[in-house]
Amino acid sequence: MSKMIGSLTPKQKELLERILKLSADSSAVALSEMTDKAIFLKSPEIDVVPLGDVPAIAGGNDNPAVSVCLLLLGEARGSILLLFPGRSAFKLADLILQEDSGDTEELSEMAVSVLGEVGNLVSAYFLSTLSDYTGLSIQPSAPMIVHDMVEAIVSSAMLILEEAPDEILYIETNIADESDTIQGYMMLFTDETTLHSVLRVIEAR
Amino acid sequence: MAGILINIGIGDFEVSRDRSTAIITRGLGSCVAVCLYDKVAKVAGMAHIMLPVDNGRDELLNARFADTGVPRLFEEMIKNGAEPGHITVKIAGGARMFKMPGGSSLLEIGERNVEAITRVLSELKLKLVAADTGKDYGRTVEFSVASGELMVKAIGRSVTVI
Repeated sequence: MSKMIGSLTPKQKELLERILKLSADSSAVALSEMTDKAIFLKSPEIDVVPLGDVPAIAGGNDNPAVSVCLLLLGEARGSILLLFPGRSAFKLADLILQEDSGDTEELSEMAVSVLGEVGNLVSAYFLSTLSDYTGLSIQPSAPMIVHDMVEAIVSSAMLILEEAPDEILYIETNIADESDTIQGYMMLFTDETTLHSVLRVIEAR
Repeated sequence: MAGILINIGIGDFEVSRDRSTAIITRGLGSCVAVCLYDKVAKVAGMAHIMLPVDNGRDELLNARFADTGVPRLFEEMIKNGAEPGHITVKIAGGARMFKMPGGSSLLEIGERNVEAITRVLSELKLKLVAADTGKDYGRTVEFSVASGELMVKAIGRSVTVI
């Protein structure tokens, strides 16, 4: 991905943001049905950051976070990472399970399963919207849940392709119900070939 | 451990002769911290290695790749007065952070990093004396210039010193 991301044209950025907005809306509807509450996802914002700034994302370096990582399968290489810093993931699981986990520092089996479902849902809507726009067939793998240091998670997800990008593309969003906001990030790591083909197709529309 | 901390970012390296300092890198996942130490001259160096092999775009002359980064760290040690024969090596990191039923070779990057580093160390005739690698959790490491001790911290685990 590296340098070419920095040169996203305004049109490419706008189209990517539109795809993200559509998939965020679909995800919000699905989450609302799942919880029987009105769930909102803030319009996702795309940003490109240099590799060295990655640790500062989501509170930085060795602070704890929970992540859901899914590999891209089909006509794309890469991974999708949902990252919930601090206690955000616990709040999200509580919101969906309609429970109060209190001060627990461990993810229950139920919480892990719920977060996996959220990962499945959000990435499935994103990838199917992307497929609608590009004609590329991309599926997510099963979700992998990790509770560990932010930088350990982000760097390992980024390096799955064995390429060291100079910059990464990341997407920030919030999940909220009527009473609470949950901080969350979505990052997309892919190679130049995949990104080129995605951008080429959406540019041609 | 030590008073002044020299922080190393992902893919960077640093050498210090100041005994009041420690070199630190935070949140290692599949990345590996390679720590070189000359206990006679009291010179310490650390590299935060990301990947096994240089992909040909390594114009920044940093320590992202095992095959180019470890030799670069070694040269910097020599420039700072270390004797090749006195240098010992400790490594930490190289975890497998993500697990999938059935497994995927894509997730074994930590193991491949450790293998590549071990190979480069033996080519440079450097002696690996301690390692805390693999497993499935992130690590923060702190390397004392005065003692050559490497402190390894992880979430929910007791601190170890190697």
